[in-house]
Amino acid sequence: MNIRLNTNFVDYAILAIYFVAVLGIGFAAKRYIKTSLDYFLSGRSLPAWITGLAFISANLGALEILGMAANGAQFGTYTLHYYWIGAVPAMVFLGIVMMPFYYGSKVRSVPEYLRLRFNKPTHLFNAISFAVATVLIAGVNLYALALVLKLMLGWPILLGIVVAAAVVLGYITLGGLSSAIYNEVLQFFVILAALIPLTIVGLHKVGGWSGLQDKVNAKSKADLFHTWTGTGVGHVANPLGASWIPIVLGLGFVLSFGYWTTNFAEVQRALSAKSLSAARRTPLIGAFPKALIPAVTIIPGLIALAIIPGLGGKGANMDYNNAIPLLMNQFLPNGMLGVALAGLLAAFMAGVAANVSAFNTVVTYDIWEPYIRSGRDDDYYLRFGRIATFTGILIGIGTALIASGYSNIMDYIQLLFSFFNAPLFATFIIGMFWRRMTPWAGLAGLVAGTAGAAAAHYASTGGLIDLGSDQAAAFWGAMVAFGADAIVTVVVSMFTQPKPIEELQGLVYGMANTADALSHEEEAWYRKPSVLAIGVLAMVVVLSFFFI
Amino acid sequence: MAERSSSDASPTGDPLIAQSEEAEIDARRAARAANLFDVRRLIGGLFLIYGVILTILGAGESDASIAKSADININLYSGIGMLVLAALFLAWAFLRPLSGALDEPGEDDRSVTGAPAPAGADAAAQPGSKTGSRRAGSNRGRAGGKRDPGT
Repeated sequence: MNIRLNTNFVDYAILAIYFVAVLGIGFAAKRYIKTSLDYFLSGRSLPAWITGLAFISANLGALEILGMAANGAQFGTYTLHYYWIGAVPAMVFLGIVMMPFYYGSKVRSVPEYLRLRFNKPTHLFNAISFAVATVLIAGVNLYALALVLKLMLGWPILLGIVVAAAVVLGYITLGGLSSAIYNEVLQFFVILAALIPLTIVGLHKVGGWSGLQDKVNAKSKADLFHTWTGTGVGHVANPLGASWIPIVLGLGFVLSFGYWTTNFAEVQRALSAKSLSAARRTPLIGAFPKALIPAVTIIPGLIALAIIPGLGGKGANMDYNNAIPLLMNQFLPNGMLGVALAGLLAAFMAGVAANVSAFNTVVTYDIWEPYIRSGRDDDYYLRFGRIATFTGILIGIGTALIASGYSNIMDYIQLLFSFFNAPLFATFIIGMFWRRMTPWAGLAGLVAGTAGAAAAHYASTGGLIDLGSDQAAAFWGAMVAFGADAIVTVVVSMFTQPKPIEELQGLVYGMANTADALSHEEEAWYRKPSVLAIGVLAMVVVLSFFFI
Repeated sequence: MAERSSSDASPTGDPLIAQSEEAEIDARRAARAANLFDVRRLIGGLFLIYGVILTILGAGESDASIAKSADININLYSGIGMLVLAALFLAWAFLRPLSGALDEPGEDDRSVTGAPAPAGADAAAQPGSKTGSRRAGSNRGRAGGKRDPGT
């Protein structure tokens, strides 16, 4: 099926207006940036609603949107597990339990926490592996963006990569994290302005929710409208191919907590908040839209399954990943088409920008400043940060070209996450709650966890063990990584020397620096982190009952 | 924490002169930053433009186009929706402006003669402080400071 959009000058004008706004933010931000902290953490100055929306937008890249719509078409409402089990609880945990340690200890990055809590080797290992992983993911986003540009507008791949990279480079080099965050907030509204009308038109076309159920049930053998049917251990019969154990423990616990609580591209948004209270509210405010976004990703996926013949089949461009572009092509007139295009491109650029702005911070604060050129003045690191951004994007273009050699992009990303985030979460959770954990256990645990993830991956792809579907294999792999990290951490801690307790102030459970948590901001009840946390959890529990 | 003391930037080497010059620049900078960086105005402005374009397109939409989007005039309805969103954001931004404190007359004088500029992020956390280092000043501009518009 032809996916090439029928764009006209109005659509291009709408797109151009968006780019002008984005670059305008970068130029405006440049005039007010004076210190490296301004550049890397927005001077720790942003209100919680901005960081909260940026927090969710950093996650709401186009890969996520297209991927979740594809999952919606393939797995139906089982995809809700990625949101209500695989995201919201971890976001609440980050806000309530972990943020006092991150924000209260005044670290500038997630790896920096590891330097304070453990030692320099642990820090360097994590900083380097994080820098590599983020630049790879930024490259994947660039490549996927270029693919979409090629499909929808007919641009050559290389042109798409270079144009997108130039725009992102423009606004981050100029404006640093402020500019990235402001664009993320803008992007959040534009992508919703694209997805909501698309969903409404699609639902109207198929005859509403019940019409959608009838049409999908007529087409699909599997039951796509219940979330827990067929997840019993031993008799797995659901499209996800996973029982409740890997869903709850692998996806819900290890993968999700690893991603949301230790991925600096996310945590950085909260660190730029203006107070501890605002930092704690950042992921909690982000959790509300996260819980509702499946309405505009999974539903369009199901609509595409219902009305586009041959979706997911062998036909050209009939990939599940193209569910949303196909619907755009089918339903949106010129005008809305331009908005949808702007929303998608904005979401892709947000995915690139989130990773690049995390990359330049970690390279500057965690690699260059402590290990290569320490003791320079702040201007030096500000300049270096801009160079790191530029270099990061150049490497991103390079890795984008590597990614073009892989057929399944989402598998590649899942692999990166299971290698990197799952062991990191084990190290963090044990390090925060067990004061006896030693500095060398930090390093040993991370190495063992990464090795465990690699072993599980190659054993599964090599056919040594059968873990079920690709999804189930990713969930199990994360559990193996977590387990390997945890065991090695405990064993090494038994045989090495722990840090003196006074060096752990602000870093471990029971010793958090929460003094400024009692600021004036806490007065309004609706700003209490606990109220927000209970609110979002209750909302998710109630919503879940509709899809049991 | 990377902090710059006020004297860093002084060409004369006199920290007091540098401080007052800087405070004056800061006040102007902060006021401009408050307007430039108010993301609510950016969102409102963008959706105002989009809303106008889509509403005009929708008003003159052909039957064929409407039939394409399942008999809903989606340009028109989306355009109106965007205008409403833009109105909400602009109303919020203008009813509770970020630069409220900075717009008061005499603000510049107070900044110049005020107490030494509190430096760094701490200043941003002090709701009542009218002066600020560059960073604190532009922070307030960007972020809202005392009159925090959001949650």
